[in-house]
Amino acid sequence: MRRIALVLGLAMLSTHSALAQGRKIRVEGVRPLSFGSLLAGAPTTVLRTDPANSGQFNLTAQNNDLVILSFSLPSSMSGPSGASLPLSFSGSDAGFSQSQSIGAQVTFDPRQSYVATMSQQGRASVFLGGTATPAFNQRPGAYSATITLTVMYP
Amino acid sequence: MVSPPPPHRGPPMRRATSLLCLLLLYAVPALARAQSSGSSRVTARLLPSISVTGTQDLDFGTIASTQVITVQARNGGRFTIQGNSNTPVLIEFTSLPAALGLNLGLSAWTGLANTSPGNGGATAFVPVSGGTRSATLANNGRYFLWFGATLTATNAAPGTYTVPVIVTVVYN
Repeated sequence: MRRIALVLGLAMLSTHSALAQGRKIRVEGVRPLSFGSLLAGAPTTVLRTDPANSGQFNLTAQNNDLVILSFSLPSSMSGPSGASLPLSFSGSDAGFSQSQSIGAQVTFDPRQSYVATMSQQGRASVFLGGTATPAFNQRPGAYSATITLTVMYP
Repeated sequence: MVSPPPPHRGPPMRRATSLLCLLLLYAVPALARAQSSGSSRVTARLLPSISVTGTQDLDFGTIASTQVITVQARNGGRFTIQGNSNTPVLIEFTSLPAALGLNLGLSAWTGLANTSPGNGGATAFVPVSGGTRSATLANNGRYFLWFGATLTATNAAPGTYTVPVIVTVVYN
């Protein structure tokens, strides 16, 4: 009986492990959030519906599954000689699209976790906008930062 | 002689259940770890502010009270523009005045534009007050404009006259 129980237990373990591995989930950053050229003292906003400048992540997961999206958002971009350019994100700066179309987004707040449903094909996209606020004495040059999107099953 | 009781192991079925629970305990965290992260960049380029400096006046010199005099652009007033290298800009001729003073009309404005400080090989154009012109700043971020005009004095009173010529430049 002990041998049977052990075998049964191992069988359960391997079944759940396969389930965990079988629930594919993937996030890919496909387009950076680009503010382009900025002028000192002139705040610039990129809308999540901007087809050229909004950030875009493509998601792959189980068909129709619920997933939790959570961003790690920088509060500034780093630039020349350690200069810092402030960034901010509003409650409507992110959009989820089952069809992966920038024209068909459901707005959500990128500062908070969001539960979304994958498409029937197990795909979706997330679009991101934001605002850069250079100071009047902002040092000219190139600035950048990293945005991370984490997707997990509930 | 009393033999110690055999160790209590419980019914076989309970043992099997315990083992399953333990194994499930390992399996559940594996499920919870089903997540993925992807990173992207946020980028910007902060342009230096544009400066526009009048580096040479459009000077008609000394004229008679009634006289018509033309200063060619190549000998006229000059503006120096400094901004971000190789960047398109829009130049607005914000104010090309129509008069230098009473009975001193200004007309027939002419212009030259170049990416180098000399006007040899510069491009001629006809500026209109309020009009615009597109340009691209040079590798060193500079651009130069020259302006000429015709002054028509008609029984003008003696004196010294000045009037500003204003050019506005923005990144395009």
